[in-house]
Amino acid sequence: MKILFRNLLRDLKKSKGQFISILIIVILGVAFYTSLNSVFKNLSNSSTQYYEKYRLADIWVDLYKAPASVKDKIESLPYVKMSTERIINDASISISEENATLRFITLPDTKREIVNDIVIKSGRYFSEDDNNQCLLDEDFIKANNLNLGEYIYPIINGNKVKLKIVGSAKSPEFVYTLKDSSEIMADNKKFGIIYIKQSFGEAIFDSKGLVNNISIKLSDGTIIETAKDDIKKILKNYGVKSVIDIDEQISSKMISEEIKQLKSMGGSFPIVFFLVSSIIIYIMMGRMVENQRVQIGVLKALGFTNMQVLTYYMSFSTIIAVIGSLIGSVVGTYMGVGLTKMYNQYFNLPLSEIKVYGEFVIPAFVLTLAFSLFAGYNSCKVIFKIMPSEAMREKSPEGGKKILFEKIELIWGNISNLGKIILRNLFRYKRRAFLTSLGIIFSSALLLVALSMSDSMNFMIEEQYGNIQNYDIKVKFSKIMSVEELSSIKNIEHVTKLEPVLETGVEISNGWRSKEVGFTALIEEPQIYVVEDTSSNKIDIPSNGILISEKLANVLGVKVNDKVNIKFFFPGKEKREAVIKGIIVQYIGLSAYTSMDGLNNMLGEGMIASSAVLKLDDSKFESAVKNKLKDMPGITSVESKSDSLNALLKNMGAMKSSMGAMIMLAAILLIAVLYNIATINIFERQRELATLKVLGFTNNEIKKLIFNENYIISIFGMIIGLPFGKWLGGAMMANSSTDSYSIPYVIEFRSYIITIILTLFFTLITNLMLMKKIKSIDMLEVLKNKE
Amino acid sequence: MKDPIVIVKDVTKEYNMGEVTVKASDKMSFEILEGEFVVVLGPSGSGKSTVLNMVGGMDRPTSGEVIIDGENIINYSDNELTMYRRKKVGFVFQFYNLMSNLTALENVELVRSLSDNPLNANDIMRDVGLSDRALNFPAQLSGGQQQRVAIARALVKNPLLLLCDEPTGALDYVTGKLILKLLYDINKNSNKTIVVITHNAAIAAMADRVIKVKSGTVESITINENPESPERIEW
Repeated sequence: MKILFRNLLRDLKKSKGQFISILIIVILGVAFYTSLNSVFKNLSNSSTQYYEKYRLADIWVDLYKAPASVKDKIESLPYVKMSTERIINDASISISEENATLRFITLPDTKREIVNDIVIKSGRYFSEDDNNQCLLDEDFIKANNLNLGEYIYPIINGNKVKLKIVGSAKSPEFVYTLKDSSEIMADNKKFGIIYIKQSFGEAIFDSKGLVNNISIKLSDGTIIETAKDDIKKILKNYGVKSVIDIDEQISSKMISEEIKQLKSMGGSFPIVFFLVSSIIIYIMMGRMVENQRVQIGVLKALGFTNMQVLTYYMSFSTIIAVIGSLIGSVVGTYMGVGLTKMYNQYFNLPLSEIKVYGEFVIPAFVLTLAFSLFAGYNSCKVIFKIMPSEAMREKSPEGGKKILFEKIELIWGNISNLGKIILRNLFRYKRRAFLTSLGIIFSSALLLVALSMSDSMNFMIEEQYGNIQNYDIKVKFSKIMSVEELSSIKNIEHVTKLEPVLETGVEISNGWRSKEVGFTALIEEPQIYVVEDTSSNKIDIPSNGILISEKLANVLGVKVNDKVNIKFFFPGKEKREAVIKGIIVQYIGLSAYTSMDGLNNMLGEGMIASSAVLKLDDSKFESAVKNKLKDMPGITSVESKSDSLNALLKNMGAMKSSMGAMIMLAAILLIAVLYNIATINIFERQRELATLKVLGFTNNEIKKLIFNENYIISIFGMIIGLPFGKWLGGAMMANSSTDSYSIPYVIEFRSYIITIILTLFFTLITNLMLMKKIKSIDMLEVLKNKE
Repeated sequence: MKDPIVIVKDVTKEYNMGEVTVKASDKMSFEILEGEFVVVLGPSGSGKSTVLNMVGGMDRPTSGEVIIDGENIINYSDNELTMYRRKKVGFVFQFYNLMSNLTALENVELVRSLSDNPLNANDIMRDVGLSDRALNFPAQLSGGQQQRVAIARALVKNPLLLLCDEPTGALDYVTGKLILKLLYDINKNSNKTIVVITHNAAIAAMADRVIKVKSGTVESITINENPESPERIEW
């Protein structure tokens, strides 16, 4: 057996190109498996630890204003472990001429254990001396080049407040710092969290003894829904704006969704590679056994047992699995560390250490071995059937066959004889051709998915920022204003249009199904804050009913003209009924819309606004207008469309690079599969190709025989791969859509074309790699006896 | 006097096998006249294959000249050699080497397309006696029938020269004789120059010219004034 093994090594050496290409696929599979799972584990462990250590809340309650004593009421509930009362308010600030929003959160004047605690990254907690100390979001400090000891001047209720930065901090509550669920990308320059003393907050926000947020930690095993209901009941008289749990909180939701995706990717992505590698192993070893029938017969005749011969041939797949897993786990380890760091740039979880999880190496190895051995066994089991005598006889010539295609005389009659060779060969080895095209199917599907992701993003951006958010600037007010009060904004130079907007949280329910969503009231025929129906047509806002997004309609199980219950959080105006007047598209957020009149009908409140959208005569005046707005009283934030668009585009870089990686992988898959199968094809047909060469066919004509076969397989693969990719991309997109955004799945016609061009281009590269093999076919092969 | 169509002059072929140099042929010289039926005779390792390789344009000699139809082909580029094989030589191999994915007729048509002045494929199929098997694939034909297809394939491009490498080597006695008869008839009826390379001394009787090779050299050249018909040859 030892000498046989030497023979095997020599066989391997002869086909090192094939060997290496299978190995690459296996390595990629193992590397993805270990690294993606490590990233998943690293992130989920760190977030869990982080949440526990700093006591992330289980339930957040937003109130209008309530005495701090409501905390005691909540703590009287038996299952409440701990609660912390805070004041949370947004305010605007201008830093080096740029406008940003700060979320003020109050903390106890002296440090004690609280729910949603903070980690001090640098500096210190508040000291007793000055009141105006603050701890600032670490990312905000970095993004805006601020330093400890510096003073900042946010505007609260129209007044500049001077605050000294005494420390930088992070909190599990804002791992991912999004202002609200209408944003999809964090922009640390434009939004940050600022922590101030409780006493100071009471003073500047005019809230002596009052709070507007309670974060609650529950005992283990508490049913969240019951707790939420109880809390709502207890706080009934204090104007509950919203009660959300950990699954709804923006930051934790974003993270758990991301982790969920990583987990499913870590499970599914490597399987494609294992599958493809087993296909190649299956075909390659099948040919190897077929071509070595004589050798197998000789071995058997010499007295080797079936098992020994089988083991000998199977050791080829074992070697691939072992070497592939070894290299793959090393590569995967480095990749895991790199990917964890990359992901964490986005999340800022405190990774105390990036662990490499050895435990993932074992399942990866087992998977690889299982796939390779399965493929190997299936291609080698024919060994049992080979009789020593039979193997030593000459193999009967392979029969050519007419193919179905030939019945169509019009087409067949016009195919050259070389073309006939290609087609008959493809049909003779149908299974091989089909398995090869599986590689192409995966590859082209992957390409299309990569391209369609960018198409979908572009489409959404264009729709959202081009058509729906047709305004230039949105201002938010610290309190609800009557529409008349907005005239001072309307009068600012360059503001051509102003539309008041009222945004509030509500709970919409249909029977037992309910959802907390944003509720937006617009003017009846909005021009700059547009609502579109499902076929992207601008529609008017009804004055006696509401419009809801498609997704919300699905969640609630309602259709047009159905009635739903709306629960407002305005004291005394809790329950209202409304008729659904239409279904709309909404890419970002999950909302219901009505008109100002509609709201008036429901609440009897008249024209009120919590924010306003503005259109300028020319966007070049944006910063001038923003500057004027900043200094106006009662404005908490001023955001321009270009700001959010830029933040989004900046973050598209990550998507672009993952797109690039997918295209690379598609190339590797295609080339490895096609190169392998074509190598087998050339090897098997050496004699035929050598004959053609002797007969006077040029290298060019001969290579067409192999190359065109590859092109045909590629084209066939694409015919299935493109629809498959379309389906796969749609499924992935649907899977990744959340309450905060749902990206419509769009594939531009151009992307199909690019996919086709790239697939053919990768095929061309494979063909170029095969050129040498074809050129080096020895003409003297024709003189040799058949094996 | 007919013109020599092939002139092989002082052809030496050396193969470099690592440290040793093997001489496959050493200053071989001979001529073949137009319309002749030539048998190159020799045991294995005698340099027969070198003759085939040199005259067939499949390899170049280390030194010497190979003049075919007045042109010295030893300085031909790979491409020119391909064109030479394509236009001027018809090959018949011991193991037929038909394209398994093409029918008998398609095999002939495939090569027909290479020629500037080809013959009619169906006529050739009739000439080799295979009209009724034209639509069969090689795997459906006997060895003798496959060799007939191979001969038809070689003839269809109307080559200057037909090179046959052990054409009967894989066939039984009776079938082998029928194939030789076919080659003999082609030579006599169409005056096609035919070179048969073989180790079978009996075949020499049917040749106009017999070139005996041994250890890489030409041992003797015999002109046969009265060649025998293959029917009367026995071995």
